[in-house]
Order: sequence, then C-alpha cells, then structure tokens
Amino acid sequence: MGDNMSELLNVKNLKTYFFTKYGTVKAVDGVSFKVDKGETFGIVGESGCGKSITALSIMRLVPDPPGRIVGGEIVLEGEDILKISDNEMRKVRGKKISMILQDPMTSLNPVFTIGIQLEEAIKIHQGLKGRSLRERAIELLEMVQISSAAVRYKNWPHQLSGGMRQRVIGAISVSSEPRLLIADEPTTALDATIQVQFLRLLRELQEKTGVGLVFITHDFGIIARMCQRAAVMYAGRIVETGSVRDLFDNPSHPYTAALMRSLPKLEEKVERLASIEGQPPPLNDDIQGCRFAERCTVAEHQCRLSYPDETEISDGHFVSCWKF
Amino acid sequence: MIKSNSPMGFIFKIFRPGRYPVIPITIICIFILLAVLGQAIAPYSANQIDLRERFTPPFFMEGGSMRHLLGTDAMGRDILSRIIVGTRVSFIVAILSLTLGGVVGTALGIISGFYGGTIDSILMRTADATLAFPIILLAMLLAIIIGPSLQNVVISLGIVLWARYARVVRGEVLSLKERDFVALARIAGASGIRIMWKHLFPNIRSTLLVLLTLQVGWVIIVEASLSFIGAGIPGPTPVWGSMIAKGRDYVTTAWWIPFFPGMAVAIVCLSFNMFGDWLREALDPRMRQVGGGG
Amino acid sequence: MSSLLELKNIKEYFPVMNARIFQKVVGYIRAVDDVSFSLNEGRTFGLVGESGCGKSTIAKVILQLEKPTAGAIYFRGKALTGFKRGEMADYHASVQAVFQDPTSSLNPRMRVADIVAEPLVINNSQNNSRSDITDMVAQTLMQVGISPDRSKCFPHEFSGGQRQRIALARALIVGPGVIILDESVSALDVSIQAQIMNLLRDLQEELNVAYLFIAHDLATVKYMSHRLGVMYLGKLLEHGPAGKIIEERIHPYTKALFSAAMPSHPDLIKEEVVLTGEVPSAFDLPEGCRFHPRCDRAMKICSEVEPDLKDVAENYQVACHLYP
Repeated sequence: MGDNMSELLNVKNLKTYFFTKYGTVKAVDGVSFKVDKGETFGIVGESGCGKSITALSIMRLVPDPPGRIVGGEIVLEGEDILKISDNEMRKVRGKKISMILQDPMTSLNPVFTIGIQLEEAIKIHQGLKGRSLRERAIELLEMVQISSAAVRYKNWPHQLSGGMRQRVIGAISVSSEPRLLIADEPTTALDATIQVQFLRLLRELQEKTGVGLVFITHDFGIIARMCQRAAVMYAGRIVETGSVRDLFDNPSHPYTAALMRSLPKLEEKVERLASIEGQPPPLNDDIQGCRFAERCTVAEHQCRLSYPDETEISDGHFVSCWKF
Repeated sequence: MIKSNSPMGFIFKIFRPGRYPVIPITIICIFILLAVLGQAIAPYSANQIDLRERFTPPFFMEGGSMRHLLGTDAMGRDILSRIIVGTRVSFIVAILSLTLGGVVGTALGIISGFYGGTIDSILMRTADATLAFPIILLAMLLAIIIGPSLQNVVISLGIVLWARYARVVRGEVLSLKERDFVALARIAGASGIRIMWKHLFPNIRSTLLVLLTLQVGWVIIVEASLSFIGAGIPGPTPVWGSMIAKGRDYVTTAWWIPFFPGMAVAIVCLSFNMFGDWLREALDPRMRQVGGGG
Repeated sequence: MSSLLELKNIKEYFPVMNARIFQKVVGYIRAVDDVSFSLNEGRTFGLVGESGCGKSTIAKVILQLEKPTAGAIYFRGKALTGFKRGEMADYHASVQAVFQDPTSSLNPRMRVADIVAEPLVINNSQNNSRSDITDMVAQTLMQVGISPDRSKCFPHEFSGGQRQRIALARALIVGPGVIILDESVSALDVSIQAQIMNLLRDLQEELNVAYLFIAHDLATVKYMSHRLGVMYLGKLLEHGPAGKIIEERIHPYTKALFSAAMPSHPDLIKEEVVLTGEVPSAFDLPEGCRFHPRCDRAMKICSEVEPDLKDVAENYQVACHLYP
C-alpha cells in the first residue's frame, strides 16, 4: 500500500462481454494492470485480442448494447469509476481521462474549424471565455508544434494533413489537462516519418504535463520506443506484464516468445521467421484452459484444463503460464 | 421500449429482422393462390349480372346474406368474386412490368456504372428525363395513341421502372467496381461482359430482389390509379382500380362497393412492403458477418 | 540472371480539371515520374515509400489497369505496346497480383473453387477439361495450405490470413512468372504475417517466380527483398541491392525513412532524423530535387536542378547531388 501515492490507474479483473445472438463474446476476460503517474504503459496484441475494448472500458464507452462491463474495478486516483453515475463519469471523461483514436480523418468534425473544436473542448472543462479562450487555443496549437498557429486556428480539418490533424486531436485531448491519456493506435494511419514526429510530440507533452499514458498498439517497435512497462494480450487476457526490457530480453510466456521470433527485424539478419501456426480462438467459445494452448508448442495436459494464475517470475514481471 | 409481452410487442417481435414476417408472407401466399386459381374458386362468375341482387350489403350488415359475403355492386355482380378474379390482372401487370423494367433497368444500370463516361452520361440523363415525366400523363398519352389496354399499362410502368432500377443499380456498381476483386478479374484478363455478369451482377442480386419486392405494392397502386382514371385496363375485365372508380358514386349509399377492392390494394401493398423491408435486413451481408469471432 | 519484366522511364500523370462547368485541364498530378527498374526471375524487388509516393500506381501500370503516360514495359525482352492479342493474353496469365485487403479481393458471391479457377478459365489456352481444372485448384489450394475440402465454401467462412492464402492461390494457378504483392501482408497480424511471408519465400524457391513486393514497413521489405527501390513523390531516389541499401542508406530521405522505423529492441533506439514539414503535393512539385524542402543537407543546387540516378557502386544508384 506504500506506493499508492504514485499509482494513477489500477484495473482489477476487468471483464467486458458482448451479448450477441451468436452467444456471449468475452472480449475482455479478467484483465488487471496498473499505471503509475507520468508513466507510459503499453498494451500490445493482435487484432481482436481485446486491447481496444479494454481502452473503451476504461472510458466507459463500450457500446451498450451489445457490450457491457460485467465485472472488475477500474480505480482512477483512488476512486472506482465503475461505481460512479453516468453524470459523474461524464465529468471524469475529458477532465481526468482523455483518448486519442486511430483515425485522424474521422476524429474531427468536418463542418467546424479546428479553432472552434479546440475552444469547445477548453470551454467545457475550464470555463474560459472570449479572448483568453482563443489565446489558450492558439497556445495549445503551438504546443503541438503547428506552425503559424494563429492562421491554422481558422483552418478546416480538410485543409490539414493527416499528421497535423492527429496533432490537433492531441491538442484537444490534453486541453483539459487530463491525468490519464489513452492512445489507441494513434499512429497506425500515419506514415513512418510522420509517426516519428507524433510519437516525439506525445513524449514532450507527457514531460510537460506529467500525464499518464496508456499506449495501445499492435506494433512491438512502438512499445520498445515509447513505453516503460507493457502488457501482452491474447484472446481477451493479459498473458505477460513487465518492464519493456523484461519483455524484450526475457519474453517468458510462450506466446510472447513466439511473437518476438515472428517479427521481421531491420537491424539484424533473420534467416527464417518463426511463425505461430493456426489462429486465435473465437471468443464466444467457452475455453476452460489457457487460450493459447491450441497453438502452443509446449502445451501440456494441464494447460487445457484450467487457466493458469499470474506468477511473478522476477520483480514486476508477471506471466500467466503453467510453466511457472 | 415496447415490452415483448404487450400485443404491440408481439407484432414488433414477429416483424423483427431475423424472424420471418409470418403475416405478410401468409397474405402474399393467399393472394398468389387467388391469382393462380382465379375464377375456379370464385363463388360466382365475375361478370354475372343479377339485377335482382344489386346493392346487397356484406353478410354482417342488415340485409346482407351469406350468398354474397362482401355484397354486390350496382349491377348485382358479386364483389368477392370480382376481387378474386381481379387479383390475377393486378399480379400479371406487376410481374410483366417489373420484369420489363427490371431487366432493362438492371442491364443499362450495370453498363452505365461499369463503363462510365459518355455512355453513363447519356443513360443517366435519359433516366432523369423519364423520371421527371408524370406517369399518369404518359399512360394517358399511350391510351390515346394505342387505346387503353393491359399492354399500355405494362409499357407505361416499365418505362418508369427501368429508370428507377438503372439509377439504383448504377450506384451499387460504382461502389462495387472499386473493390479489388474487379481489378483482379481484369488482371486475369476477364472481358467486360464477364466482369459484369460474373462479378457485378451476383453482388447486386439481393438489392434487386429487395427493390422488386418493395415495388410490387407501388405497381399495384399505380395500376389501380390508371384503371381508376380510365387509362388502364378497360372493362368488363374485373380490375381493382376500376372497381373503386365505379364504386365512387355509391360511396355514401353502398360504401362496400369501393371499400373492399380498396382494402385489397392496401393489404397487398402493405404486405409486400413489409416483406421487402424484412428482406432488406435479412439479405444484408453485414448482418451475416456478425459472430465471426476475432 | 535474365530480366523478366523491365520498366523503362515510366511516367504516369493524372490530369487535374478545374471545377467549372466547362472543364479544362489545369495541371497534372505526377504520380509516377520517370521510373525504371527490372524484375528478375525468382527474385524479389522491394519498393518502399510513404503513402502517395506512387508505388501502387506502378503496380497498376504493370498490371495494365492504368496506361502509362510515357515509357515502356518490356516483358521477356519485348515491348508490351507491340504485343498481339495472343501475347497479351499470355502476359495477363504471367503477371498476377495479391492486394492488401483479402476481403475486397475475393468476390463474396463466388465459391473459393471458382475464385481460384477464374484466371485458368479465362485463359484456357491448354483446353483443360473441367476435372483437370478441379484437380489444379485442389493442388494449388494445398500448395498455399488450404484444405481442398473447403473449396466449396464462400470467402466469409475463412479468417483474414486464410483469405490471403486463397488470393495467393488464385494468383499462382496460372503458373505466373511475376506476382505483384501490393501491401499483401500489411493488414495481417504479426504471427499471420510471418506465416504468409514464409509461404511466399518457399513458393519463390519452388516455382522460381519473381515478386514485386510493395510495402511501407521496412522490416518486412527487408525480409522479403533481394533488391530495393526507395520512392518519394513518384521518383526512385535510391535503387540497389537490399542488404547494401539497408546498411548504407545513402540518400538523405532513405536515412530519414529508416531512422523513422521503430526499433526491434529498446536498446536499439537511436536518435531519429525528424523530417520537418509536410510532404509536398504531387500536383505542385518543388523545383529541383523534390525532397529538398525537407532535406537537412540541402544545398543551393538542390533547389535548381533535379538530380538523376547515378551509379555509386555496381548496380547501386542514388539520385542526390551529394553523391556522384
């Protein structure tokens, strides 16, 4: 309990299910992790592993119906935000938590100038008016390195490039000075050189504001580049959590290890990539055991019977596998 | 929200996508049966005049009898029999005009969307012009030139329908042809005709089916209107539209003469529309992608 | 090594109309501007660059989906423009493609067997019988790892990776000399990506087919390619053996592009070259070298004279005034 002071977010045993006519889809099934103040925490996994639903759950924006958070706790600065009312949650969103989405093309409303959209966000949370509102908006645009911000302020979204739009969204997200920023694949739609610009910007924003960052991505390279700690998700569960160094130097879950071997690398010569045969199980199946067992090369009888508990194999490095 | 145990909720449930719309399908089947059997199951000959029985009200009213369930008209003809026999005419008109308009419209719509350019401009402007022209006027012109007849109704309807089909189909083709499988067919060396027939047409079939169903009702109403103003099928053939027209004069004294044919038009039209709406949701391929896991 | 397919000075300009009633051409988008390279039997040519650099337009030109504005394509030493009908059909059979989105590539209303058989049915020069075709479909499906038992299924019954295998089977069935792989593995998850890339490499070894591998991810291009071309705004800036380019990165743009790639390990994070500014539009290209407005080593001559590709080593060319 001693390090509670530095703890920003604590997700405990989160379960988000989707109730469809084809059965219950357990998109997030018992996910736990912690994020410290000012830390960048990565969640990495393949499509459909539940990483985006985890993000939406933290925002309490899971489409209902068909989705519903059926269990767990999301403790933000000591308060379980699953217990508060919708009205209170609306105040938490934007003020304490903010989110950046993948597609810069659809995240901005095309019929308002970026200045108006930025002011709208500031107005809701800070109650500024008139000139000071405008000054704050331009200041924010400058902070996200938009050149000649006073002119750009009057631009429409379609007049900006993808990279600039994403930076404007970044400005909107931090306008309310949130404690936690969730970035869901924010650079996937951007080109490599623009991606680097944006990632660097995020880092600078974080240094300036001390915001905690949850970075959701499918790209291990971004995890290596951006995060201090990360979790690997597979089929609705976290299979391994640890410092980024732990994950890269000592990937311990067979899934993490296999993924690392199947990554093409620019820096070194790889004769042949290892590939993981098969594909992830459908999430509406009722699987008792480890979800990776069917594709795992070291799976034993026990693995198919029950799900392994999380084991701490070294300081802060947790693995859910029967091997440990 | 509507509760599922209330009567409204029950109706809501039946017509929910995914379930079969039982009532519309039943009604459609009954009318199809009537159209096929026609005179064979009608209690009287449709044109049998019996002046002693004129203005007999339907059975549930005073003076009505079980011999004429829905009553008789000004010439003593049995209304039920005339509605039954009239079903066939309405359905024949619907089938012929929808086939004519559908085939021509689909073919031209695919060609227009696929080739684009000048062909597209010419075809689409022609379609616009056709749609801008009032169908009633068109039918009246044709009636003046070749005389009122079934062909006349079918041709008038066909002319309007092809344009509607062409526009919808062209729109579908424009988005379909951007899909990679069309590019890959070209890469494999497929001809334009093959692409249109094997790749584009199968992908618009479900849209067409929905459109066809939704327009059956419209066609039946227009046919009735044309017969009503006398530009449609001439007497003494029993037709719903002209039955309503002739009954108009007696609406205050013998309301049943126009009412029952009018109800037939309304019920058939509504059933086809409901069925079409259900079909649209049921055939939507996006609905089938759900539950694929991942 | 014989050159199978050769592009010589290919230009692809798209006219831009003004938005008046009587449209007039007001300029051209220079999507591809004087590009030459060749594909060799059994080898892979990798093409990298950011979005809008013209790499996919090149694929379309090769696949005859677009007519080049200028330049010529040579197939087995003969210019395509002089091809007779029969030779053209032969070309269509020899040059196949696999695109990025397997869902869009497969006609949802056709069964897998018909999809795979289509190129064979269209170019039935050997007059194969129905049962021959069925056998060939089964054989090809086996080659890509799909059970022929499922050939009567529709595309939506398969996962993304399997659909991409089916798309590959369709390309393979005619025994092509060249397959254009336009972002073919980009949309796939890491573990599936490795499966498909390994399959592609095995097939190349077995069938001696040439690939044009177009991608924006440098690590996958490196894993697949023998030779490499780096494109920027419609032009090849660097062109040579893949290993050498990755090691030397001569052109300033190549340097920036590679430094923008995410590291494969936290220890490999290097200070990246952050490009300033935005990519100019292909409609309004800068004078001189098209990269000079963003280049950190631009000289006076760069804004005046456009550099040509010049040899810096054997089979290795760079278009930059800094290098002879």
